[in-house]
Amino acid sequence: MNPVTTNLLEIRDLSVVFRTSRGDVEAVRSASLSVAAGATVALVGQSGSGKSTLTSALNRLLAGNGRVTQGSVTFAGTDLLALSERQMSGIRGRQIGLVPQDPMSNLNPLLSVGRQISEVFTIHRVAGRTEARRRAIELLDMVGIPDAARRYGQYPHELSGGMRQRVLIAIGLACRPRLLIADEPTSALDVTVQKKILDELSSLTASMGTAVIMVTHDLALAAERADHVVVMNRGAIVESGPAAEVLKSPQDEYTRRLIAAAPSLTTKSLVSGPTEKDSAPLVEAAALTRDYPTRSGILGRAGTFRAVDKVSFRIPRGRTVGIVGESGSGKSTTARMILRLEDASAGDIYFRKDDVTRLSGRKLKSFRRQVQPVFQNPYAALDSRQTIGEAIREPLDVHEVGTPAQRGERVTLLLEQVALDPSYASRYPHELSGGQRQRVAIARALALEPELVVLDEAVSALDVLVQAQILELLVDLQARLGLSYLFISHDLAVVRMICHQIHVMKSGQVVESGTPEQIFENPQHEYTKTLLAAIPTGRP
Amino acid sequence: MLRYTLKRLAIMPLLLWGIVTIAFFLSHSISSNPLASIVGTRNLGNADVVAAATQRWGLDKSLLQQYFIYIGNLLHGDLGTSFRTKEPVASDLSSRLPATLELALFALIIAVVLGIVLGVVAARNNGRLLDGALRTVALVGSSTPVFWVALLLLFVFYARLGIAAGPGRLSSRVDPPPHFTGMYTVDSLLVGNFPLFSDALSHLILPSIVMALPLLGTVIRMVRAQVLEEQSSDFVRTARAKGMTPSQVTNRHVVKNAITPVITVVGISVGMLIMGAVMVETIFTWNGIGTYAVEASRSLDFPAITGVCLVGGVIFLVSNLVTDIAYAIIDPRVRL
Repeated sequence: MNPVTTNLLEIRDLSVVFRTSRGDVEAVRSASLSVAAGATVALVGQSGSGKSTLTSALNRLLAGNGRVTQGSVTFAGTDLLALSERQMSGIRGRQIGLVPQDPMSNLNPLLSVGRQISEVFTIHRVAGRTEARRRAIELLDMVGIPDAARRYGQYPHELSGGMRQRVLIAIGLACRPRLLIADEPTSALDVTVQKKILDELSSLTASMGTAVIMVTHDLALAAERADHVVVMNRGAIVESGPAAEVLKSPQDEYTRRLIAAAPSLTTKSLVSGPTEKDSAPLVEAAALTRDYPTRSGILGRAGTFRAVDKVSFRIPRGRTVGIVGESGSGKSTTARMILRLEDASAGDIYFRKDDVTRLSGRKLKSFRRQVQPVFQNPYAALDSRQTIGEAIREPLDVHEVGTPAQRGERVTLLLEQVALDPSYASRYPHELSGGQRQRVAIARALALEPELVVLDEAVSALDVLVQAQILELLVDLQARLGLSYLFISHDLAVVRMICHQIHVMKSGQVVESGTPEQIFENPQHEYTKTLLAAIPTGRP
Repeated sequence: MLRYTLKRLAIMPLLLWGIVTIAFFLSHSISSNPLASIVGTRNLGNADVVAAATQRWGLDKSLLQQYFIYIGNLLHGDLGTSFRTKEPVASDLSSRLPATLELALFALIIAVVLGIVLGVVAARNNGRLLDGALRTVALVGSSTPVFWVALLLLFVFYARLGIAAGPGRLSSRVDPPPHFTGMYTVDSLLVGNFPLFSDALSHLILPSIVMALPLLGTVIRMVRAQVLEEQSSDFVRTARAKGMTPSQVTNRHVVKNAITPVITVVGISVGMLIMGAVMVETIFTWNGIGTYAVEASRSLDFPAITGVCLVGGVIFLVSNLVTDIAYAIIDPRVRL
């Protein structure tokens, strides 16, 4: 066999079926795909499009209820589907590496990260214990973890998300595999970290001659990093070709919609008009500060960690104010203080004329009516034992709004407002998709006719097409109901689309404020420039 | 961790004082006279005897006075004298407690070791016949009354088949080993008397199995459920992608994660195991603390009752502390 002329991986007509309680579901439909040795192929599609299933099938790690119904997977001349489980174990990790998606859940919490890397060597018997340890430390160093020898003995919870993802990359590349499957390797990370890690990943795989299948929902990222882009929709491959070509002139209808919906720094803003200076602000936060007590050392000497440091901003009526920043910048803590879910250590928050930090009793309850939150995770934000109707109705019951019959009517109206059929009222959250659940969360937030809605990463977990729908819905509701939004996000492109005013936060402080045009076209602060530069643009 | 342990140990006397106080007043709140058990029913009519006994045992003093005398003695390590045995409660307890501890320790080892092994085996065979059989055993184990199982096992293995030793801690005409720990298996090994060891061990087997059964059932079911849950977690898939075989993944990644919640349950059960030993001890004529507690409360033997409560409190507190420490050793995320 000559690897120069033959593809490293050849998938032909592969179909995968999952057995579910509602009958068989075909997750992958006659997909064909080839990867040349050393090449990088991006597999793009929304969640549920079958891209992860396809890679699981080729690695033979499908969930218990899934099976391959037709097709073949040929890797370096070997038919992987015909191998025994034991033979396949010899290939996994040694010739086909995997970098999984979520760095938080993919490491065993009870074993040191070093052990989790070195065991790749010991199970394949390529090195003894001491040698495996030495190599693991070398790998930690290679993936950019400083002080590798000390980090070797640390546990996953002692490392940041970015560090953990680097550990997972080290595991995937430990045996210098010929193929690496990187399943959304950076989607859980901040943009600046994402850029660094992807740069490292590319240079490592290039130096090892490793081919990469990169699974991602981010088209721009795919175009920037891959030679070849493969687009999947509903289990089928709808388009494939050289990266630049697919992005520039997509042939398939679905690809076109995907490209159109993806927010980028060139996307047009959904809102119009600058902030009206004359109207009195609905919310005014002044020198907002939040300290957390910390304990360190054996004596447990108390110190403080300042999560939010003298942050000031105003939210005018009927406008959207965005706070952007990376994880740990203090943006969510700020949101929680505005919601009075957390008390400020210092500073004032005025809602109309009331000092929010001093509200109690009836006044606090009335404040809670007027300010409603929508959180990030649409899966965790709804009680799985409550129907959709009950979830939306609950705030009405708590605040005893109208008669029971009126509340029922209101639920129907709210569902219609967020473009859901009233019949959804009797369904349970697990019957809904992520986007539909986020609509429910928004409907619930609107139930009490609030004046301010605090959206903390409310669209971050959604696919681009759904995200675009929700953003349009938010803008539409703002125009019709005169709502004000505090929009918290790490995604600058999204913030640009929806906000009138933007504040950039770093380490608890607002480093730059301005209109979207000012921030994006003429960033002043160094950090803002770094953030903007790190966003994938689709240009390799 | 040292800091935490010392802190917990330091607070223990306070908790024990609370336990003793509650036990003292609660047992004295029963409107019945302990004199019957002190002087015997026949002497209750004899005013001189009764008066002498009342004064001798301090029953003429007010309850509060009695309490302060008791606490004062307790501080010197004196648990009082049993109304019934007329022996110091401390020496009664030290002769009875090791028997129960030995039994409970064996029961615990059986429940934990066997429970984890069988739980993992059941999970690995999820949905197959073996899994079903083990789950049935677990269910029967934790739902069958102890006295019934005890009698059944005695009948089958001792009376019928004759392959297990009968009631008692040793065979008749066998002398116990010299007293070091009070646990016959340990003491016999310490003096190197192996025939005695095997006799003590053979007498331990049936009662400790009976005692272990309810906990064994719980452990099997918990481990099985935890293993199944952990098997679908992300890091298990990552481990598979490294090239590990399913059994390698189970042994190196799943089991350790699966047993952490079991530690808590076992820790809480230790106290219950020891304090609930009375049924097993009665059937197997095991002269332990369970039977002692029952006899003491039947005869309103106040010093003995309070003494048993004190020992129970120590056992609960220590086993909870050990549980916390074990948890912290296994799970690096827990910092004490």
